[in-house]
Amino acid sequence: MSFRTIIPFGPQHPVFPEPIQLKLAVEDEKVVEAIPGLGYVHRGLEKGAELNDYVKNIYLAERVCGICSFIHSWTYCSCIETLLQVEVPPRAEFLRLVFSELSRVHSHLLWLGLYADAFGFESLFMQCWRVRERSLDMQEAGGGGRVILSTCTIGGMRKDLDEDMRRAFIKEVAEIRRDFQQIMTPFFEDYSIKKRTVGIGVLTKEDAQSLGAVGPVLRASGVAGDTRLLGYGPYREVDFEPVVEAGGDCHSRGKVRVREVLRALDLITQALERLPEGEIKTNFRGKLNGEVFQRMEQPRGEMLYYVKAGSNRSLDRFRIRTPTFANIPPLLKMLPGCDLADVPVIVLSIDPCISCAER
Amino acid sequence: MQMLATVLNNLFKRPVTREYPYRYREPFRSSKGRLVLDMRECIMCTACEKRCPAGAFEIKRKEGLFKFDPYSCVVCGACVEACPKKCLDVDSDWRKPVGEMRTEIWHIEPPAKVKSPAGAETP
Ligand code: SF4
Ligand code: SF4
Repeated sequence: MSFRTIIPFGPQHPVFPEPIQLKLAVEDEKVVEAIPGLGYVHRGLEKGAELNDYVKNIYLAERVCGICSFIHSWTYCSCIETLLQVEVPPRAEFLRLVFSELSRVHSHLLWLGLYADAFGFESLFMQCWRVRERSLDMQEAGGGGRVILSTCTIGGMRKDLDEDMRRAFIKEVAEIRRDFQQIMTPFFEDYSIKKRTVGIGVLTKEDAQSLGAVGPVLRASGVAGDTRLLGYGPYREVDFEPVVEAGGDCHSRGKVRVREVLRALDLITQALERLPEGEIKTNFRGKLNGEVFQRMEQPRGEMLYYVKAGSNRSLDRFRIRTPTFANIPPLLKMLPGCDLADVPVIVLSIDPCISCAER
Repeated sequence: MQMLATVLNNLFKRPVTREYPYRYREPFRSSKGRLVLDMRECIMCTACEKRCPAGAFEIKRKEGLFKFDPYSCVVCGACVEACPKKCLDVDSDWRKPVGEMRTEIWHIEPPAKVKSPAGAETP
């Protein structure tokens, strides 16, 4: 007969960059149940935004996440643009695509490094982060900051790319691709990585759909669900196809992200080559009116913004649902039945971003 | 085996990391390092104070007092766009480490309210 024990996993644990607690009910070495405990890093950003001027909120929205910050500011700006009925110039739209895909590249490379670290492949972790550094340099050269760019604004962009920079970017993207291709094979073929990830934390296609998984977790289970397919912004004008894998296990989730890095680099090149000429910002005025929902694809999956206009330049209600929040129920489905030693890899495989989830 | 090219590269290339305090990477031209203020032209219009999302400015027009807290500033550049006199600018170099955090204070002559246009007669 086996005893049931409860093991607290987190909030402080080497695999967690951020605090979340999972209470794991284990029988011998097998996990039978997982109970999540959230709320360690709640910052009250939504309430803060409601008290703020709506233009200043761009900088607040950007700070929801420390990785995909550009996409947060894009989503927020696009909500306000809908409310104010502002047309965004095409050049600005394409620049937004470039920077949002750059944040996808650096987010996935960061995750691939952490993932390699979770199963003990330290050198791969360092190689991933070496390549990631180049994409951060691109962000700094083009946007002014390594992570927080503050370039997206209501009605367009605040910084343009000049012709030299555009060419340099195209060249740099090709080099990142070359560097990354050199180190990505182990994620597909390495024996020890396969041993730690194949068949671990399986999420079936049906479960993924019924539990509302988003992003790479959903796509690794064989569902071609990607918000970019809705064709918001310039995505309708570039060739884009979501990356789908069928396995549903940790290995597939890794493979989806590796292939998405290449896809994102491809999108950046396309956008830079087709970058239209013209203005990068339209001026806006008028009063906020009405309410709006906006969905966008982040590195971790679909994100949802709800903005309701209030009186006098403030918002009545501001609500964000981040992809990690949506991926917690699927995580709880993956954990039962696995070995205790596999828990770190499984938890990491949803790419948890706790500060985003709790805002 | 799959990492062989990387391993060989690493053996024969220079390290990718820098010995930081001794070797310093020049900032990119458009990096947002810190905000620099040139208060000579300032007209105390408070446009920067109104736009700043971080509340880094404190301007008292009547007393001619202009306070700027560089450690609240998040270098977003909103004030640079707002300033009508181009007093503010973003420098690409980072702020150096300091031992003590100080608010920068200026005392500026408050501008005269309304200047009568040249040649206009006052009754
Ligand atoms: S750069 Fe931004 S945060 Fe800094 S003082 Fe100007 S408006 Fe405020
Ligand atoms: S916006 Fe410029 S001129 Fe106006 S108060 Fe600020 S620094 Fe002075």
